[in-house]
This record gives sequence, C-alpha cells and structure tokens, in this order.
Amino acid sequence: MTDALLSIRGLTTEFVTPAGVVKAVTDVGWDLFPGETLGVVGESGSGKTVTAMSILGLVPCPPGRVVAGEVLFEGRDLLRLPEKLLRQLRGRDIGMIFQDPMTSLNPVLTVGDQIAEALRLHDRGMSRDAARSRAVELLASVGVPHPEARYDQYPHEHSGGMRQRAMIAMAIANDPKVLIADEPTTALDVTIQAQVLDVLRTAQEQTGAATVLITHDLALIAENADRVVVMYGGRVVEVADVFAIFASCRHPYTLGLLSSLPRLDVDLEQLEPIPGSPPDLIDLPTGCSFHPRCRLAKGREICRTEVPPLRDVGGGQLSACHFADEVPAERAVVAGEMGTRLGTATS
Amino acid sequence: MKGTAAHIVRTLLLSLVTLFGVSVLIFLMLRVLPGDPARVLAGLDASAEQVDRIRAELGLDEPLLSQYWAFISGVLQGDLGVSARTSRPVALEIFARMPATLTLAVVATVIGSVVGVAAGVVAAVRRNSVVDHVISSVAMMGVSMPVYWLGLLLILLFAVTLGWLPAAGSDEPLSIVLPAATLGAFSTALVSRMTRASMLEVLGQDFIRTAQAKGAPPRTVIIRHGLRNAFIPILTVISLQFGALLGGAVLTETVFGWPGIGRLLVDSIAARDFAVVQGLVLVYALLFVLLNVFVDVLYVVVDPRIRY
Repeated sequence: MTDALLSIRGLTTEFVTPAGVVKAVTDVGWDLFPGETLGVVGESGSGKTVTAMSILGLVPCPPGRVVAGEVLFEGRDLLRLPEKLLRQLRGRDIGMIFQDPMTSLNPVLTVGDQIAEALRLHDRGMSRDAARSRAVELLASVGVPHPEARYDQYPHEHSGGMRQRAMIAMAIANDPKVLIADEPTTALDVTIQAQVLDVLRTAQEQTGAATVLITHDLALIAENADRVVVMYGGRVVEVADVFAIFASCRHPYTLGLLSSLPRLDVDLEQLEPIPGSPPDLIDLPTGCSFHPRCRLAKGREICRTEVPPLRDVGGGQLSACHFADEVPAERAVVAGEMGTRLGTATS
Repeated sequence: MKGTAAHIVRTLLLSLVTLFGVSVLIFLMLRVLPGDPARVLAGLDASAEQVDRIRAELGLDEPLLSQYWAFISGVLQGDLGVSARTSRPVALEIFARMPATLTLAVVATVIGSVVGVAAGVVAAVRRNSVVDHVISSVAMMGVSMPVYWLGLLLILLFAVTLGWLPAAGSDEPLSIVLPAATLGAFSTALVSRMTRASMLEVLGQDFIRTAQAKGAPPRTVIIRHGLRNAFIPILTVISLQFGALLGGAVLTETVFGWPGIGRLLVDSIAARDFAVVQGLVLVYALLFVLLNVFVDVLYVVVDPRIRY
C-alpha cells in the first residue's frame, strides 16, 4: 500500500468542565491514504467531530486541549506546527465541510464573498475580480443555478441544500489534498441529502482529494466509503474496508450498529437495538468501555479490567475486542433472533 | 431598499402622532405643576393686579383648550413662542444653546464608541484573562459611578491640582475635554460591556469556526466575522446613549458650567417658563425620532437580514 497522506497516532483530546474532565478522544489512530474515502462512524459523543477538530487545531481552548498524540501530514506533525503555518494549511491543503449549513456561514457576508475569501486568504496576489470569477465557477461546479446572481446573495437567501453546496465550494476552493466532511447531510432534508452527496462525490473526483466522511449513518458509509473507522466512547474499536465491515465485522459494537439498521434487501422480523446508552465520557467504564452494553462480555473479567488493544484480526482488519474471534458466531445468533440470515445477506 | 424607504416614510408619519402626544403631555404636566408662572415672574412683593396683568399677558387666564391651541398653532407655523423670562423667542434660546450640547454629545459619543468597542472586543477575545478582568472591573465602576462625582474628581485632579485644563465654562477650546471625558467615560463603560457580551456570543458561533477552518488569521476572524455580527446591539446602545446626551446632560453641564440645553431646561422649569420648556421638549422629541429613523437605516446597512 502507498504511504498514508494523513496519519493520526495516539490522539487524546480532553475538555475540562466543572463536572469533570471529558475524555472526548482517547488514543485514536488511523491512516488516510491518497484518493480514498475514509468513513468514520459512531454515535454522537463517540469523538468523531473532536477528532476532526483536533486535526485542524480547532478545538476551542479552553476548555479543550489535545493532551497527546501526533497528526502527521506530509511528514509534519500538525499538533506541533506553529499556529501561523497551521493556518496556511487550513483551507488550502485540508478543506472542511461542517454539519449545519444554516449556522456555518456568516450571515452578514454574501455567500460569494465567503468563497472568494477562502481563495484570497491563500493567494495574496489574487485580485478581487479573479477571486470573484473563480468563486462563480466554483458555485457553478457544485450545481448552484445562476451562480452570478447567487454570488451576491446572503446565506439567508439560500436554502439549506444551496448553502451546503456553497460550503462544499468553499472547502474545495483551493484544491485541497484532504477533505473532511463532518456529517455533511445530517441537517438536510432527505430529498436534498442525495443531491448534496452527489455534489460531494463530484467535488472529490475533481480535486482528487482524500476524504474523511464523518457520519452516524451507516447507509452513507456503505455508499461512499472505501474503508471504515468505527468509534465508541472516544476510541477506535474497529477498522476495516467497507465490505468487511458489512460482511464480517469483528467488533460487537459494529455488530450492534448493523443489527439496529433497517434493511430493504432482506426480510427482518425485528431490529436488534443496542441495550443501554452511550457511555459518560467523564466517567468511562473500566476496561473496555463497551462492556456494560456488550452481548459478548457475558460477565467475563478481562472486559472489565483491561482496555482491549486495537489489533490485527486478519486481512488488515483491526478490532479492539478481547473476543474478536467470537463475533462471527455471535452474528449468526443475532441473525437467528432477528428472524433472517443477516450474516450471508450482504450482496 | 424600496421597503426601507417606505418604512422611513411610515415611521415619520407615525412619529407625528408621537409628537402630538408629547405636546399634549408636556402642556398638561406643566399646567398641573404647583407654582404660578405669573407669580414667579412678578416677584414676591407684586400686587394682585400686577400678577393678574402678567397672567393675562402670558395668556394664562384663558381656558386650557385655547391656550393649547395658541401653542400648537404657533408650532405648526414654526413659532415656538416667547420666553417669559427673557422675552426672547424660544427658538432663539434653544438654538443659542444647541451647538454646545451637540458638540459635547458628539465628542462624548465618539470617545465612548471607539474606546468602548475596542475595550469590549479585547475583553471578549481575552476572556477570563487579567486584561478582561481589569477592563470589566473598570467598566463596572464606570457605569456605577455618578457622573457628577466623576466630574468633580476630574476637576480636582486636572484643573485644581495639576492645573492642566480649565475647570468650567466653554470659552477656551480645551474646556470641552473634562465634560466630554466625564460623559465619555460613562458611554465607554456601557458600550464596552455590551460589546463584550455581544462578541462572546458571536465568537461561539459555528461560522467563526468556519472562518478559522478557512485559514483566516485571528484579526480577520475577530473583526470581519465577529464584530460585524456583534454590532447590532452595540449600535443600539450607542444610539440610545447619544439620544440621551442630545437632551443635554444636566448634571455634567451643571458641574462644568457648560451652557447647553440641559441647564436651560432645568432653569426654565424652575422659573415656570412654560414656553421654553414646551419648546425644548418638543424639539428633543423630534431629534429623538430622527435619530431612531437614522439608526433604523444603519441596521439595514450592518445586517443584510434586516429588511423593512
């Protein structure tokens, strides 16, 4: 495999709050390879967004702080890069798309000006006119009709879908090498989601950017990601390519996610929810933080006492479960309970 | 913009009702005030006939309705009447004093806006730092301290002890420094507190993060993306403060012997000079209405989401 474009190792980010220290991200590591789309899935509060913020140095401090780890991009550790150099990188080499296009655009500046700003921040020599015509091109390329007129409008004159298109145009303005999309469609109407995803895919193809797609939506992952990182309680619990995740996951949390997903391709008598609720990040369970909700733990002591390391379980698939080998058998049991042959139903 | 023009016309028409209400109110309030203007003018040892004659001269013996009619019909023809005290036209009295008040109000507002916004932005950006605590404490003192007290302290230091600046009057160019500083200190404190609060709210918004993710330097993030969004409440405070100063800062004008309309108003009330009080209040109401319209237009310029 080629060298990774972006490598995260041992990333740990905390927030100091009056109630205690929130361990938002603990010992997270993954690689992003050129041209690929890496899906990062997990429930809210699993550390997906904080990981992305940590990469760009955008964790608000205080109360947040990156405690440990490194983020290697083109041989440089972004966590130790001087603010000024990091700023040059933001928006130029790494573009970011945020969740809520309603609040992520500045309401008192025109949409076009905000895109042109992204261009001129990284190219001081670019004239206003040049930035304008390039921004209009960008708006056209993300499928905004009448880009000339749209340029001079303010965000409140745009619909949610149009705003997210503008956000994408802004993120790809400088042909970034990495595109981070944090729940890019969550805040949008279902009918608009597919359109925006198409735009995102096209933008990716145009720029050739490697993409980190952060989402809680497994369907989005199935359609768009090449490889998948599953997060739980601020840690990475499983890493695999997208087919392996759906066909032969090796972590009970991933199994839980899949079993709670409604499907159209097989008849399900019922869905299997994951019992309990996401962990309290101030007071994480000891050992494996998933053990109180895990159907594999079965009261075994090691689950309560030892944090399972992320290890290779074959074929490059990584799992952080002491009993990763038991997952396939358990999957058959779950499938039986759900009244279908889930284990073999992937196409 | 067409909507804005229509809004201005509508506001101005509506304000005619307001001004009419103000004229009725001030007219009636003066009439129910204890104290007889004719008696005040005539002096203590005037005979009853003399007082009656003065009362007749002032038209105060006529029924209320015809007195009001005389007042309002004069106003509509641009005639505010004649001062009972000085026998000069009220309009002349007011316009003789207006420049002093206007100058003081403008200088104090400029000081308050510039220093206040700067201090508020710094306090918000350096939230919970020593700088923030110092600025916030000084601002707290500024809004709490009575202006006449601050004025007296400033006179004591800069005029009496150091002898750098004139203590009172308006004859020298430097005379404006102390009264403007006194009023400006209050405005500064008010504006900086509002700026800090408003900036803190805006700096926590998602679009600030977007700007940072684009690679914008702190100055751009704070001014271009932060301050412009925080400006509506700041503008409101500044304009209200300026409006209040337009009416004349009575205490400050008194402490510094500044010949503005604040003192004219107080003196005229004491002397029961009905015509001057009515005229002043009406002019002040008109100024306030115009100021409000002006600020409405500024809102549209600052925030594109505001449309009338």
